[in-house]
Amino acid sequence: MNNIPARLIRIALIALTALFSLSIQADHSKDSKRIILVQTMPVLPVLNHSRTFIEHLEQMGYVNGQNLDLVILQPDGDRGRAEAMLQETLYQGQADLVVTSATMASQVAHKILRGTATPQLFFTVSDPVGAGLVRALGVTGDDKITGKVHSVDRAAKIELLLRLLGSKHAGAPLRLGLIYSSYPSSVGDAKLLAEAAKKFDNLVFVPHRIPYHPVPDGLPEMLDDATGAIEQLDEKVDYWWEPSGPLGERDEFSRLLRDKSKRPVVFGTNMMSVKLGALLHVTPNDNATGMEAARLAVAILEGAHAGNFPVTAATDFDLGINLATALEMGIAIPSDLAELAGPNIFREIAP
Amino acid sequence: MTLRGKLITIILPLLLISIMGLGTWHYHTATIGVERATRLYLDTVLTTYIESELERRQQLLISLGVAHIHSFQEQYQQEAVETARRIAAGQNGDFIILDEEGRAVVITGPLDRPQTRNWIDRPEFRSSLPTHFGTLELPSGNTSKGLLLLNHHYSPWKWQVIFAIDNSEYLQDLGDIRDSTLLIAGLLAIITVFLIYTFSKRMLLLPIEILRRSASRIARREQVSNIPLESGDELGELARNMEVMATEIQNAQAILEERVVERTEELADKNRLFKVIGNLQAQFIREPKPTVMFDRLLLDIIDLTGSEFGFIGDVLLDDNNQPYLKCYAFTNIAWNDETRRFYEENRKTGFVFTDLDNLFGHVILDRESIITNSPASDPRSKGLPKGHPPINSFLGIPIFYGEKLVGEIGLANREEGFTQELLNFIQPIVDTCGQIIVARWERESRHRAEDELSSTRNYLHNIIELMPSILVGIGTEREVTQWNIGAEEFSGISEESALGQQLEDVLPIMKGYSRLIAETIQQQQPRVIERISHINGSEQHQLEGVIYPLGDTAAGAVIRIDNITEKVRLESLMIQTEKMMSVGGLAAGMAHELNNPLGGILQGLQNIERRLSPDLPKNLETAREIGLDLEKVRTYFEQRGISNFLSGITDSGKRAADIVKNMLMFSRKPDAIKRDESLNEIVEQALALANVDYDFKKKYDFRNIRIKRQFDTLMPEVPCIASEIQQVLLNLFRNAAQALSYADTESPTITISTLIQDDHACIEIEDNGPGMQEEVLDHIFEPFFTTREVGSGTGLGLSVSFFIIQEEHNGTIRAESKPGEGAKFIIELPLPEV
Repeated sequence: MNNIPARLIRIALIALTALFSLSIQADHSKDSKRIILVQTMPVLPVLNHSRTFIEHLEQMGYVNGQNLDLVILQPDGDRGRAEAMLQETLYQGQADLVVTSATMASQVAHKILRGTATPQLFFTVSDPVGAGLVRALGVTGDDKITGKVHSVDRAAKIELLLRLLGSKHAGAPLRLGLIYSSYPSSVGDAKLLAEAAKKFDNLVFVPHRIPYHPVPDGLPEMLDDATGAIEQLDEKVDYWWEPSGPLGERDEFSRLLRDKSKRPVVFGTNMMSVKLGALLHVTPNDNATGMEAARLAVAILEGAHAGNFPVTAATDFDLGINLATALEMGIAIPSDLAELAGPNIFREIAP
Repeated sequence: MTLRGKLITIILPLLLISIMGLGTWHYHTATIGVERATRLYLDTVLTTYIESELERRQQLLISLGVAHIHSFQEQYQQEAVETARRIAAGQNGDFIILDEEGRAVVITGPLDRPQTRNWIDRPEFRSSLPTHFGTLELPSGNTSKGLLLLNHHYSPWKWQVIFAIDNSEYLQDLGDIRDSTLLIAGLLAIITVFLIYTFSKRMLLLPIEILRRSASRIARREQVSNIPLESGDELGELARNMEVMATEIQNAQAILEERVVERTEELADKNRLFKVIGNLQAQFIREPKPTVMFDRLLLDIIDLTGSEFGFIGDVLLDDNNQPYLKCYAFTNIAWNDETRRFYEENRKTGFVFTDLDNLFGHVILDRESIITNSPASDPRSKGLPKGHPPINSFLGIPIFYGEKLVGEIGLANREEGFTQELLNFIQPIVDTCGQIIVARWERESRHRAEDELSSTRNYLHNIIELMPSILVGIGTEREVTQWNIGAEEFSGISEESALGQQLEDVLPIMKGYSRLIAETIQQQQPRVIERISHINGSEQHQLEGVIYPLGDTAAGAVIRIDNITEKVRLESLMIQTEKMMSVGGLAAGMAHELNNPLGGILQGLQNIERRLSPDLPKNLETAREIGLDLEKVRTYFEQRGISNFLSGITDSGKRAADIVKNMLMFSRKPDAIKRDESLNEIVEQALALANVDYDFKKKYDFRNIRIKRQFDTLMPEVPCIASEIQQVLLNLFRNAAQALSYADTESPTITISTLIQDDHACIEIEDNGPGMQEEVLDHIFEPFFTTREVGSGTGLGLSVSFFIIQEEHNGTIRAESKPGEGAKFIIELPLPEV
């Protein structure tokens, strides 16, 4: 009889402890989110954007392993593989958000998630409209999908180039050689460049498409094709313009153009292209892209409707200029561009 | 002036002055501000341009490592020029940039005209530029009068960068500020005046007018229950307060009127009380007699308290230091003949009560008031004498002056009985009474002291007045404050005339003593005035004085002057006497010593003459034995004059013997006995002797001198030695005769008078001879003093006379004489005692 109060107290303590544990578990289950990140292929911009995206997520309170279950899928540019990996992952557990990097993964996820409640966020996509992801840029209303455009307006790029060249080609039409693969984004890019060129007098793109072979295995073949294209166009163009897409992202292609042609490359696909001798490159800033994508992801995870966020380009850009190339071309870089490039002015050409 | 007028008078000028001052200050501040802002603007634009466009590009060239590359430099300078154009287009102002050779790299705005460009390209333009900030006049033909510019040299590119604005714009700004300031100030003044007036009228003046009317009604003690002022501000609160105040005033007035009635009654009592006190004080001043004074007071207190009777008296101490009561005011309650007699006997001097073992006595013994409304049952009461009017109530009040019990007031038979309140009410009278009693005592004491002082003063006055001395009181300025009879007699100036006059004016002998008087007053030490000679008519007086300070430097001094002529004479006489006595003693000794050898000389001469005489047988026998003829010896003596020599020695010896004889007179007491003699007869006998004292050697003949006798025939006989008085008179007659003879006086006369003066018999011998100098007069009684030639007198005559009169007869002998006026010798002999 004497132990009854002690037993009652013990039971009460146990009950309280159990309730407390349940509440913690409930909170944890409530706060823990699941994100599936699909990277199209392991190229530099994809990897950089994914890394900065994850870093900013952590800074905004979503840490993988604590309140975030982040699943990263890498299909290495293979569409079928990408579809299979994403479906399998979704089958294993519903995701609060599917994030895709680059065009192919974005198209696969968009296809798989159509008709589901799972929202999608994409980045490193240079032409989401052309890729069929959204109807238009800068507008809302698309269902459960939003993202950041990994591209600078082509006309802006051309205008930037013309400022650098100045009066160097005043009078004569400027011919820009463009060798691109049949990779969808590359095709879209070439198309948009052609349209943009129409806005400028005395400027034309001289395009040459080669078949796309998935990198990295198909790269030598594409380089061979590119070598042929250089030979064909070398006398017909004044400068080279590197294409976007898997081919343009490769250093080998930049070296190929530099070594096989007498014409300088005036626009590189990425900053490495500038180091290797391209006169100019402008691209959305990786960190800004990752941060802005992370902000969208957090908003969606916390209940916002993805379709309410219009698809826009990143607000910060990186400009790279190769000073050695400029000097060789007899170009005086305007001061504002030199300042804009900042640390991305390279005084020599990398081997 | 109304409140409105005051408001306008005060506020309007202040407002206008404030707005004008504010406007002036604003214009001044704005002018400075515009200049600073213009300069700051120029500096900001130019500095920003240089730092952001020139220096930035230069740093970029350096950081890119292309500063030496002409294309880059040209590109960047061109960019800077374009920037300058854009800035000039967007800003108010224009750039002029000169290269190192002074050529214009760029000129923006309206200055970019050929004419201006040529002017700028000239070297004079560069030299006329201000170092940093300043103005520059434009050449004629420009619409603008000049430029306000800022000049900066950018050394990396060797550019002279000038940013300028049109000076007329700057001046236009100042004009605009001035005009706008005036306009705003004017509008502000009008609006403010309007607002203040409107506000004051609506918010202040009208409510104040309402309050004023209400206050007037309250002042007229009208009922004011609702003031038509409903504002919620302080005036509205004041209106509510005034309503409350009006009600309170009404209430307070009613209470006040009630209290006024009460206070009036109290004041009436107080007035009666103060009137009693006033009467007491007035009575004390008018009539100090305690019986009169306290009679009136007692009547007043009885009336004031409603008592039937009472008493007032002093509490005094007897010889045994026991207190007793002396009543100066006592209600007459006598009930039989004995008490009536007692009352009448004492009413003017006071009733003395030494037995204090009763009710009123215990007031004194216990030194506290007794209030009893049943005295018969009070243990301190010892009952009443038979027939004494009944006492139903009693109030005994001790009268204190400080701690000292000085009197008592007793009251009896008040209808409503005595109370502590009544005692408190009349306490001021009791206190005043104590002061009056003590004041009366002091006044009586003072009167006694004043009487004593007056007596003393009169006594002293009489002493001062009757003193033979001259007593003069003077102030610090030597004005006369006291003038006694002696002074009146001496100066012939009455006291009334002398008082207030300067001392020297009324007492000329004090001339020359002002410094001594001042020192006396200053040092508070008495000073002696040595002998002063004063000639009054034909008489010369010797005066002596003392100046006494009056004990305070502000009080002055008293001068006492004594006529010491007689004193001086007596002193002189005493000195003479002493001198004579000493000389007398000496002469006596000398006479004794000289008498023996002189006797031997005269005896020897007599023996020589006798032994030379042939008449003596012994002489002849001896001569024969030795064979000497005495006749021849005598003849020889005669022929050789030896006899004359011997005769001369004999005469000299006799003369010396006379001198010695006279000298012995000084020391030798006369053997004769004084008898009562008639001085007149003695004088006659002396005159008879003088008549026979004819001597050719003495060269005078007394018989040729006229003798005038002025004898007092009633003169009593005087105790004296007649022979000695005769000797004195003979001496004086001889001296007078000699003087008359030597002076060959015409009608020589000797006047001899006898007379009674005071208690002396006097003999005066006066001649009309040549008289004597004062120096001679002072020494004539000295032994061996003579004015005659040597050998004509011994110089002892007057000395012996002096000795006879002074020593032998206790009289006096003195001489009075002046040169050319004869001499007078006065002998005074004491009259016989009655």
